Amino acid sequence: MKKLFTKWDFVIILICLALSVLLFALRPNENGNEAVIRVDGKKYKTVDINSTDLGEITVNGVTVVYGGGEIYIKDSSCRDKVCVNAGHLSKKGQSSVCAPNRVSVEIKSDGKNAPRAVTG
Amino acid sequence: MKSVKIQKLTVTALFTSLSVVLSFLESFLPTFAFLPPGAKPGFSNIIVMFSAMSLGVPQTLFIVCAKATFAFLTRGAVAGLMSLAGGVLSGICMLFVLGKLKVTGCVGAGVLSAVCHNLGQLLVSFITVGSSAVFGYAPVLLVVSVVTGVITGAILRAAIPYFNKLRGAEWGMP
Amino acid sequence: MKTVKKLLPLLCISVILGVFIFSFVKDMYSEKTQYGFACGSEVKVTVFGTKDGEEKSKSAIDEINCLDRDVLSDTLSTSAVYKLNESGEYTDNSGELVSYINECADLISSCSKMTLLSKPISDIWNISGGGRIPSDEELVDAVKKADMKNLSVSGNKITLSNGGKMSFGAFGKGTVCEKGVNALKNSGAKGGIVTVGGTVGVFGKCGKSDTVTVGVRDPFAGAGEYFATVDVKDCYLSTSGDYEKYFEKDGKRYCHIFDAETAKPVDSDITSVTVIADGGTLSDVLSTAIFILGEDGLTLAEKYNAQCIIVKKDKSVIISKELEGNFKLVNSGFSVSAV
Repeated sequence: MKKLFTKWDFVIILICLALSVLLFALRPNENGNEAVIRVDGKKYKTVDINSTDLGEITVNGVTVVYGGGEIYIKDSSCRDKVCVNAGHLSKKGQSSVCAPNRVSVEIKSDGKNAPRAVTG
Repeated sequence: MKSVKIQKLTVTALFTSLSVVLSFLESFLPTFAFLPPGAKPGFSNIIVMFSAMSLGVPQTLFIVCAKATFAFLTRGAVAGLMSLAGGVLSGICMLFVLGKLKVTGCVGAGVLSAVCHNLGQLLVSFITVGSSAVFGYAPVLLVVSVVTGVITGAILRAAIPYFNKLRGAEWGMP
Repeated sequence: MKTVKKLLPLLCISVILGVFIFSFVKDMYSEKTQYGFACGSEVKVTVFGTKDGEEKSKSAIDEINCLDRDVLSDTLSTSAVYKLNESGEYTDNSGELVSYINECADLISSCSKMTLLSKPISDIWNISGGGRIPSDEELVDAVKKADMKNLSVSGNKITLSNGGKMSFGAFGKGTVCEKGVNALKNSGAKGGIVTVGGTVGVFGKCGKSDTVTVGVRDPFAGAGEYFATVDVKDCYLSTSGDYEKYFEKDGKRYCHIFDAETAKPVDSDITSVTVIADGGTLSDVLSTAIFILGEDGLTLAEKYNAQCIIVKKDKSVIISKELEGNFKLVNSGFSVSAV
């Protein structure tokens, strides 16, 4: 008859729990958010906005800064600056668009309970 | 010899339906607040474990695939793929641990089975979601696997005599 | 019994293959999204339940681009409106521009505060170039130029007089959105969502649910944040607000929506108006109209069987009673009442 418990079972459970603690300690930042930078409607780059170092990307005259849980358009060569005025983005689904330069920045949403589109 | 094989075939069919029914009934269990979404006790793993110790490789894989097909038909392609990946991974692991190594007890096997099942599902959700963020779940799932694995392992141990009676004891008893 | 031994693995493999093929086919028919630019906004097109979804959404974006580039834009020198503004007259052989002019002129005929010839007004305020406050003479002059009487259409010939200049700025997004939705419908897609700037067009079955949840922008929060959601199907949603394109001088905000009777930016207790209607042009015209007219505009919405969501500066929200049940507040800082 098969045993209920052997010393190996203890080893297995201990390894699992240890692994869990280890992974928990090593896990990436909780919000693990990614933002997509699109140029002309095509994906240009995906960046991790939770990186502790600030990153800066300039494309089509638009300067995008990300890091520390935020992403924002710092400067743009366009006239109306709607994209710069959109301010700092940090929540899932938020986006900022520079239409004259055809650049957009959007924080990926996880799709759960999020609306499919936003009017406004 | 011939009767053993027929017996194996019928028992495989019986266990297949049993595992499908168990996973179906399980979907009615309320999801508990502290558990991550989709975390289930995994009662059908009990069947897979028993099949791994007593029936054999193709039979075990068949049960796993049948369960995945059922999940696919009732809950969609992603759920089907998840069940398939989790089931095949834990099935192979159980065939190795319970069928070949034979050093662990029921509880350890249950834990390993749950861990492998969750790992397979996590891999599929990584592929479908396309984001490594799903691995943030891994530590929680490991702890949940230990708890559910101990439970299923204990149930397996208690159920073995009944299973043996069910399948008849004409070939190797675990 | 040897056959059983052989058949079992075979069965396993075929089950695995079957599941993979099924999920592959399902993926082929799953939703596909493409992005583009038109009308000074980002365009997002999502299709559901069709093969070649990527190509279909791309061609919808192309249609939107063509309409903007060839007909409606007042900044691109390739467009009919630009040519009309340059020379004062235009012969529209395709009849496309004439039909859009007629549709819009018909919709705004009941509201003298709206005009299709808004370019003289927006030019003197120059909001997209940082903004300036024009003199009284300039305002009076602009009101005269923007008068709808300066536009005449006979057959395919469009004529502008007295310095009138046309702009589809207030309605163009709705019109191109409708064009995009129709392109998707004609392509055989089961469902689709087309977003042009703040205008959203929804049709058919999009995903599992029969309705599509659309967020309504929070005028007091950052880009892309919404204070409420509405569940809709087969309709268009447009929002007019004073929070995106504006300039501030001496603590006063001057927005990009003008009253054609005074040539001044609308200044009321309303900060945004969302309209849900059967047509894209219709919803876009109505949201601008109600933003200008205030609550008086509600009768206009009723006339066209449209629903609206009006957000006031004190964070009180008025919604059409038909929206009750489909409207969900997600930011508790707002108070909602139904009319």
